[in-house]
Amino acid sequence: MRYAFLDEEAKKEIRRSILKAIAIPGYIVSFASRELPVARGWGTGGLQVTLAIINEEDNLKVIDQGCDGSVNAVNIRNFISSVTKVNTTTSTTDATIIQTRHRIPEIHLEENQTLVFQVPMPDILETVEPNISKAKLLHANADYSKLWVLLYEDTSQFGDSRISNRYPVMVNNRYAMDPSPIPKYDTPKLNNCKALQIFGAGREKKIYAIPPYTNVVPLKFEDREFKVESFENKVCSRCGSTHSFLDEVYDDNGDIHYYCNDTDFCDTNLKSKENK
Amino acid sequence: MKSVDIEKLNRENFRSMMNVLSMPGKIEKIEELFNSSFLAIANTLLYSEVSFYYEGKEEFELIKAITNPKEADTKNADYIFCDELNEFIFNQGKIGTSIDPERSSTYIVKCKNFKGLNVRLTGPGINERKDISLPINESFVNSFNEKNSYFPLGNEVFFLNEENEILAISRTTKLEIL
Repeated sequence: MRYAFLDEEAKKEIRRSILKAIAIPGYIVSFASRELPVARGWGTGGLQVTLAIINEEDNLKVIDQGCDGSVNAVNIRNFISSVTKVNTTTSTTDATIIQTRHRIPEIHLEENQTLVFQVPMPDILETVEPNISKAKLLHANADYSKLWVLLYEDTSQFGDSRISNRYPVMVNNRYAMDPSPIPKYDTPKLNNCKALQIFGAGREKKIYAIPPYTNVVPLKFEDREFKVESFENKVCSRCGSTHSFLDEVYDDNGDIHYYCNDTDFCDTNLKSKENK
Repeated sequence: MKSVDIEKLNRENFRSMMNVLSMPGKIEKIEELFNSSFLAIANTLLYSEVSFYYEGKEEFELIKAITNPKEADTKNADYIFCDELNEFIFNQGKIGTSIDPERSSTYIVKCKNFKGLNVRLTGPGINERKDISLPINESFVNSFNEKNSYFPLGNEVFFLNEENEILAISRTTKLEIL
């Protein structure tokens, strides 16, 4: 089998799109998406990006909803390691490539790292403009009035936007971008991030990117503060963290417990407490 | 006979190119193919769906045979390879359209070393600012800034020196002469 499963032409096609995506932050580049031995919706976009950029020197981490041990994460990690023999890790700090779905790790990323997102719907305008060619024209004209109207309607009726994830962001003051289905909590982490962030949508055949140190701001009215999910007075029952994205879990008695969504962050926290 | 794993070279060289483009001004190494880092880059970028233009002294026939790209003139080529920075060619390359800004030319330019004009780089990929030396003159700075003045239209330029080192400036990079 070929290294990294894809044939060289497929990799060159994906690499061409990645370079253009880096050069035009937030802009959606089309590419010829390939078939992969996983179902669409399982992250074929992220997988193709990872397979096109990975090499023998890499240390790969795969997370799904913040967890290294979920079915999607384990299968993707096993697949990539079986076709590349690359080292894998669950540690965020040790990884050079992190493929993710739904979350940005809690630990700050560094310059030598690349975060690859699995993206279901790449165009943020899709909710307000279902016609793809019209949406492309709106991007070309930087006409995001329909998004602003959506925000305005929510704000006037409910006091704030109802968007809980995929919150629209403006990249480099030019392109409105879908930050993949990350929670609002992670949106500020996109801004001025030290790591390269690449977004791949396999079914939709699109790639886009945010280079390191790039300005990314959530779309927001000037007199409205951007609010993220609040976990005030909530503590992780496992590691005691008070400043991470928490999952709400009900036990058999119906009692609510909170746990860090990022399992590596929780493990590292726990280990450092045990060592003290 | 020593065998060469071309695909391994490609993935290593692509990573270097990805790193230098995502952080303009950063310098990385390129592994040679057929004793040339220039040909190694051509082999990394070219394939049957893209077009290129080259006017210079490197032997491109083998790369063309391996990668099967289309040849095009300077106004239509996706990749333009130059043995030296040629402002006439730079001004001819396509900059894309508002709808398809990615349909623009990428330049790969050979140079002796990176010494030349001291410039300040700002923009995405750069932590506030970066002061470096580039093998360019004042006139090129004007051309580059002008061609990239209407973002998202513009060009990326990779500089490759005789030490097989590569650095890049992107269409988002603002150049200021120091």
